[in-house]
Amino acid sequence: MTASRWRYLANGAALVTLLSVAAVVMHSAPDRELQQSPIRVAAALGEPASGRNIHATVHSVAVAEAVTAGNGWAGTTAGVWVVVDLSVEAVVDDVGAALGTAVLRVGDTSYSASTRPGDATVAAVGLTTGIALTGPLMFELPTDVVSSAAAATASLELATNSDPRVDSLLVVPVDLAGLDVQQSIDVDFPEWGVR
Amino acid sequence: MKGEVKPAGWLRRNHRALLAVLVLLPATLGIMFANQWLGYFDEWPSRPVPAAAGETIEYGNARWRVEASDRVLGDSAAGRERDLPTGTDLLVVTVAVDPTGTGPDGKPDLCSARLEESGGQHATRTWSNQGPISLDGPGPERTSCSSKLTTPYTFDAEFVVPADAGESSSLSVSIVVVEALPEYASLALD
Repeated sequence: MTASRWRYLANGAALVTLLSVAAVVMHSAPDRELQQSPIRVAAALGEPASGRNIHATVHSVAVAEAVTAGNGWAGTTAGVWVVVDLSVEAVVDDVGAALGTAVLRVGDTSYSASTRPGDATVAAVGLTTGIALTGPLMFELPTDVVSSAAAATASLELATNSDPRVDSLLVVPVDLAGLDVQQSIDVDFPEWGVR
Repeated sequence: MKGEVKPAGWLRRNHRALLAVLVLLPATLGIMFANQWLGYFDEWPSRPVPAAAGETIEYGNARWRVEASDRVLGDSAAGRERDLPTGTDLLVVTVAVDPTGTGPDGKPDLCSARLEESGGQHATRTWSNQGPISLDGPGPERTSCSSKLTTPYTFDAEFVVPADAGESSSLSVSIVVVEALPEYASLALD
């Protein structure tokens, strides 16, 4: 075999190698969804947790058939209310810092915090830097969801933006299945400052 | 065979083109990234015009100075009158403005004021003037810049802050005039 033929073979092998490496890189590199996904921060019930611009403590979680908010609003529902009591604050900056993401995830289904009680919850309320806002979040769920198998591994997701991509997302595991369904709950109006 | 010239290799034959690629490719990418970054920094207050406490500076179409800063403790009578949340203080910063001209709309500059804390145990923290916490009692008459006044005036920026703000750190007020971005006035407090 002549030298030029060897050269052609070597060039071909180099090209195949290059294409193979490119294929591996293409199929193993993070896709756009993964690149822009939220930065999940594992948190625990009763323990403070911090992200880039959110600091929160989930104090308690309860399930009730009816709820009366701090502004007197009485919520009736065909399902049940999951009432979360938490403190939340911005860490570095209050511009655009509202509790925009407050989602209860049960299995593959997510439930946003209800805005029906108006200003009596901390959902979508503007936060301020270093000063905690303590109050309730209320989630309206179908009755059978809280007794489903997935309810034992539910999670509460919190972020200071309605679109938490490329930012911190606090994730608090919640065992809804282990909670008794109360007949009625009265909750306090949201309050600023040290409790 | 004596006198036979060995043909030049591929790299040697193409070295000028390769050199051009090595220079032009990074230069092109550099210019593209630089443009993006410069555009990004031009859109927000990223270039401070600093002033020491009590110093007057020119910024936008006015001269600016911190005339006074007053801290109302949350547990004081004045703090209770304003219904400050537990564990917070109210920082009232009086800013003197001397308009020297008008913006493109023919009016004196409107502005926004923010309080910035740097140094100390926390990362740099900022607070909005008239933030989300509603206060009771009589507030200041003017809380921000005026687009009507062409003579010197003052306004009182109010910041509700945690009681530890400024404890072992330095505080400054940032004045932003949109037409003057990316520059902003950074007025140090005592």
